[in-house]
Amino acid sequence: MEVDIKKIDAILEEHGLEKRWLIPSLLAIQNTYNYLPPEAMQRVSERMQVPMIQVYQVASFYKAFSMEPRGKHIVTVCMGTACHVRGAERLVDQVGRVIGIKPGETSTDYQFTLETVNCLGTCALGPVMVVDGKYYGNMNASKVDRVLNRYMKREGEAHG
Amino acid sequence: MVNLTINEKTISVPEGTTVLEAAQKAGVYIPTLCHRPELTPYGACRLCLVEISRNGNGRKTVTTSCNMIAEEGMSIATDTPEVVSTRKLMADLILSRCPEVPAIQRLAASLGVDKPSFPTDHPEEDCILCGLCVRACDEKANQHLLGLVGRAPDRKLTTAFGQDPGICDDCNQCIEYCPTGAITHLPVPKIGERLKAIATRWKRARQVVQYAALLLFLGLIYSTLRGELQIVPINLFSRLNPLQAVAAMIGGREFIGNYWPVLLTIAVTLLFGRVWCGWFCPLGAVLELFGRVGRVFRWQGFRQLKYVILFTVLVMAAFGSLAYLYFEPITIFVRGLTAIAKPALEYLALEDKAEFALPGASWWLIALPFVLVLLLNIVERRFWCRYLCPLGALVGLASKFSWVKRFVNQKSCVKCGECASLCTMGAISDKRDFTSDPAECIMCMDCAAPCPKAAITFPRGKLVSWNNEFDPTRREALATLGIGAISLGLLALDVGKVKAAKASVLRPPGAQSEDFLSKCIRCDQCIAVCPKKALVPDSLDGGWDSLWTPKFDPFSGGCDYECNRCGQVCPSGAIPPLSLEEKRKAVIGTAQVNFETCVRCMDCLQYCPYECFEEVEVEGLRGVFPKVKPEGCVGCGICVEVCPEQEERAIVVYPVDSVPVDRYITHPVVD
Amino acid sequence: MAKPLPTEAQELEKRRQELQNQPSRPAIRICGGTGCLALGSDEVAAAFETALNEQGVEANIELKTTGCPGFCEQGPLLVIHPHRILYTHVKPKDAAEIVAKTVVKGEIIERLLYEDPRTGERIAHEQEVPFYKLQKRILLKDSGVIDPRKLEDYLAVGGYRALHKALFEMSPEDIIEEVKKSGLRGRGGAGFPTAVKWELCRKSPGKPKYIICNADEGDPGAFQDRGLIEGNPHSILEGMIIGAYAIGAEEGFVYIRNEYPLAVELISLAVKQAKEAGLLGKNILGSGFDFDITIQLGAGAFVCGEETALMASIEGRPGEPHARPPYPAESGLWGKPTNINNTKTWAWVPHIVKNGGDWFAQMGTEKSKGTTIFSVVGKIKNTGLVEVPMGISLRSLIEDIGGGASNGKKLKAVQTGGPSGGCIPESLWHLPVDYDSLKEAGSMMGSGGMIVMDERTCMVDMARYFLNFSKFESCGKCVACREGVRRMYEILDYITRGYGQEGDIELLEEMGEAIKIGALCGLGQTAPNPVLTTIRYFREEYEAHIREKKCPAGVCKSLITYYIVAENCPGCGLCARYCAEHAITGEKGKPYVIDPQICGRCGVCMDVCNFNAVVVE
Repeated sequence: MEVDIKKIDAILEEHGLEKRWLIPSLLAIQNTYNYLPPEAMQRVSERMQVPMIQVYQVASFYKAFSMEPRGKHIVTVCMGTACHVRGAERLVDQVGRVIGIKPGETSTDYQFTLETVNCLGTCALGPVMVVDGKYYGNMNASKVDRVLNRYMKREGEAHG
Repeated sequence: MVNLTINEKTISVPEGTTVLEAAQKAGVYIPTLCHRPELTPYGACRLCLVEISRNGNGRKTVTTSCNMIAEEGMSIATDTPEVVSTRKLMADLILSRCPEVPAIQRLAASLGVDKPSFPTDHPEEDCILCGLCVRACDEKANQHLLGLVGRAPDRKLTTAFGQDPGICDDCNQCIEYCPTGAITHLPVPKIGERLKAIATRWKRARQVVQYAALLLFLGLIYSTLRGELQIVPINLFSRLNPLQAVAAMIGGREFIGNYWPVLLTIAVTLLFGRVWCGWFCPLGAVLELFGRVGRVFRWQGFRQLKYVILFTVLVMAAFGSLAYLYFEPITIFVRGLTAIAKPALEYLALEDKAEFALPGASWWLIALPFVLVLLLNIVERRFWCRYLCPLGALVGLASKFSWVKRFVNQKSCVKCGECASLCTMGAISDKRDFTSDPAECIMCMDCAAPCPKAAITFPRGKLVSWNNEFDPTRREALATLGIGAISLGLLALDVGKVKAAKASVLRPPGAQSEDFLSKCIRCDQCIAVCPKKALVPDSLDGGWDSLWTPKFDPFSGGCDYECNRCGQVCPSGAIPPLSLEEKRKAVIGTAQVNFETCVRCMDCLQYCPYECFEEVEVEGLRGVFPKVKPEGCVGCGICVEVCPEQEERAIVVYPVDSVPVDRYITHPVVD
Repeated sequence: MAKPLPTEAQELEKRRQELQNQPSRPAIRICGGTGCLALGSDEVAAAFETALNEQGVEANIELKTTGCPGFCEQGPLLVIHPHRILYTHVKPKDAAEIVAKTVVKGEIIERLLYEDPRTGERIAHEQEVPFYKLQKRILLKDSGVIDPRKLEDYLAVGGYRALHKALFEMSPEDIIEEVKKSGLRGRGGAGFPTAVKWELCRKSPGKPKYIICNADEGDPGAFQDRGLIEGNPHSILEGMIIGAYAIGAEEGFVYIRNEYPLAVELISLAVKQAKEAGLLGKNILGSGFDFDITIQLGAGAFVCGEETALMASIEGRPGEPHARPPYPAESGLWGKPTNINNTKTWAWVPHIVKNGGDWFAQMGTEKSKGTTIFSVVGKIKNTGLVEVPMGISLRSLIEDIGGGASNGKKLKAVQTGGPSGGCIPESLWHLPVDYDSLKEAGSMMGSGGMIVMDERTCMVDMARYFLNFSKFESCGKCVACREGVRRMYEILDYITRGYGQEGDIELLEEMGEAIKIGALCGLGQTAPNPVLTTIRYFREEYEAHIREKKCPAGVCKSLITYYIVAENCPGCGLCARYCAEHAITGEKGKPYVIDPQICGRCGVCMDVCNFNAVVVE
């Protein structure tokens, strides 16, 4: 994805250029591009007068940031305790099998990114999976197939 | 001022003092790793934990002392069982991360951890993530290029995007602060690469010089053996050699101008130390190729032996004997090469290989020291240079005053021992903080690039305190005198024989003077250069003192009428550098024909370039014989060479003063 | 109080009066919390809108999407006021029927009622459901009643009344005094007295001062902050404004997890509304007091729940904690005095100001006052958010409110305090829930997550899980946490894989104690707790793993075998279809068989089996 410096500047202006707005600005950039392009981080460093290494540190410290391009659909599996005791590990294995990637990876066609998160706070419904911001509670293997098939099919239709 | 107690010792410190500083002031030791007084406390290594209780508050807390500000009425305990056991685990955890780092090993050992309890998962990474380099870059260098990036499982030291930041000004503060030395071999930031590149460049330069010197030397020997004189004086390495020069001048009691290039060597040594050994010595170049590095041999004190040898050489020279120059490295190398290469070249030159005859045992003997030196090198690399070489000892002593010396930045050094383990001279000792005695360091600079802390430099004019690890002691000096006396005694026992030898040994042209043995450095270059093999190394027949000095042996060949190379090649002037004209007139001895074995072929008469043969009739014998006219003969031995009855000794060249009295009455043949 | 009120304050009071005087209409309240949303409550709400329109009663009936009422297990939840009829598991297709029957005619639809799992009785009214009956809902009272998107709703239930009282009837010292009297302790887990903290910060020199609401609820298994914010965001803002007034702060931050998109949206909206209503900003309600709140998003780092790390994060740095002292009250954000409190602590403030410290102090136990919110999850029937008075016994909480085991298995422990807490065995469930008794049992209150485990939960695996969590969440700064926790995890991992050795337990204990002492921040200091408590109470499980190479709970993959009980298997073949390793073979209609050599022990067969034919040993 082409990084539009003007867009980055606009985001920065909107938040403010003091260092305290670094994380919010990066989150906004991440929301725009789905990841943090290096050029954008460079721009942030220049405009905010924050050394590049510090921007890089922040980007790699917080799990919300990704410095790699991510897939079109983000599948997040909750690995919180409540989900764990209800079989979150099996869930993530199953999801991984269906879309053919491991947690933290993005499929080669950039359709799916599989991520794990420590707790989504929907513990009562564990195990929980979120696809593109939509929550799916009380998951099990057969439900995984159903839910993910929907996203894959949508893809197929869009292309077919 | 605030008052607090540390291990029940009361102390007053200014406000704002940390507990750690207070403890140091009170003389209480608290271990630290990630702390430096001049950098912001970080509190990551958890080794400086102490137990703190505050006034009127029974609650005891264990916390780091490096970043805890001392407060009025604080009570500190640095050695409670809790603190000690926690520290121990921390040390264990750190050691398990980098079990091979000596600095960490020592620290852990001091806290009771002898070996790591946990497996090491990244043995190649010694970084303990203490953040010292980051703080150095931020606070000292003000560059903000380094960071500890990521969270615990994959936290690592790196630059932004792991790329070369480009704007680093190579201040190397980060390297200096790194407590393990890991920083220079971490894959990502490539810190210190430029520094290493410089050090490596110097090392390469040295190697180029060294091999060039070796090649030059070999070339010179080759051309010497081929009997070709070149623009570069073929005795260059002898003439640069201060030991030969000093010994020959002492021995000969005269100034030998031919040795003027020695001044260059002395100047270079005073400027740059023992570079002779590391950069120029051809023998050193060969010895550097194999053998174990570092210190292998346990009795390092034997290094003083080389001073004993040096002094012995000089003492003996003072007594007029240069016999101990057998121990001179250049002559060892020349003799070794000559012994092997001369017969080899001869063999190659022969058309009919069957004609080739191997030289006798005494010939091979001249290579013995060279072979021994090579064999000893297997024990330790540069064994010769370390323990025995008197030339090394001489330049080493001068190196103590040199302008450039190897310097180890103790502030930076983590005592990893990498340099010591690489040193081809074994000159670096862990017992002396990895410094080296300038007399032992040959300035090879091999240690600089591998030093993970870039702590090794070769600064100019820096006052490096003398490291007198192997300086000759008074005992050695006395021992030397003793050896000198004993040697002299041995020689004295030989005196008669020496005299006899002097009488019976023919010397190269022009070298007939009494003090030949006091000037000859036993380099045998004359032997190498002699195209007719007329010069051979003397064996023990001539006595100890004459061993391996050149002997004129016309049975091997006569002195070439068109050659004066032996005089040219002799560095010490023991064989004077005569012009061809002068050489032709120089008297070696006098030839005499043995009429009883002479077959009257008259070849001698025909070949004698001096036309000093006449035909005579001998009373009591039938026929016409050749006879030497003593007044014209210089003893060149060409007649001997051409005589078909060598075995019958039909013509013999005798030293001038020991020509046997002619028993026959002869009459010239009148036409 | 002779001083006349500023006009702004008078106007707000007038507005509140108007709202409260509105005639109440029958109302349908649908839970719009993240939990119910996940179960499709948005679609249910849309269906209701359509149904109301179609049946032409939209004018008389109020339809509200509320925050979380807490009974997440039964979602989507629907409550019909005024009689508070509770319908559970409501589907969009039920909308028309509910409107027609219950809303219009007042009939109750039996099948949608909550069924008490113990008695099998259907219960019609919310307040009679045991899950609610045993709770004492104060903070959560209005969650599930008001629409979190509407300031008016909050005003109507008396919102910002406490602020009014604080600003115009009390001095900052009075407020602190009142909080002190209440005995309120920090709801973040450590239980530090709130008033002491406020006082320290108030007295600390330095301007400006900051306050922070810590809504970085990272503990896995805890979601009460989310529930509170999604249910009643203004109550937190009100608490913060009062607190800021008491402390003398000029700026406040709500540090909230990025993983809670709905909560972020709602609290941001609430701040916007409060600003528009003059409740935030310059000269609040004409009192002359200035205060503003910024919403700061956490970006996915559990350690940022630690206050120094949280402040580092607000300042735009990686969330690495630093040593205390200096405490935030002296030197916090940008070196200025800062006061950090948990979301629930702030939410308590308006209640205490409104009702007085004594009212609060009546509830709970001697040292732990008030009520507390737990998210009770795990292997029990009624999972969700509950608010109970301090001092209630664990058993009552788990069995009476939680409804006991969800699947008939025997419950064996409850984990409180998340990765910082510990497991409390069933034998100790008589303990009262308060800061000190939980701490004594080796656990802690934490932010209030409670995960109930049954006999199918392996305690070694549980400890390993938490250490894995802490390992990945550790910032990596200090050796104790970065290296120590990792090493403890490795040992546990070995044990669960059957490579445990004699002495491992002792080593774990030794390391745990040292890390507790040696770590820099709370995360590291408490990280060994799950291990230490499970060793303390379930040592025999560890020993079984180490000595017999067995996992009694049947969890640790390397130590278990799955097999199919032939009698139960009808031969449907579903398990074989899901088995990724193709370890299950058989013929349709006949019992299937698992090949233990090939079996990857993922357990998917057990998950999908509808006949309980797959068992593990």
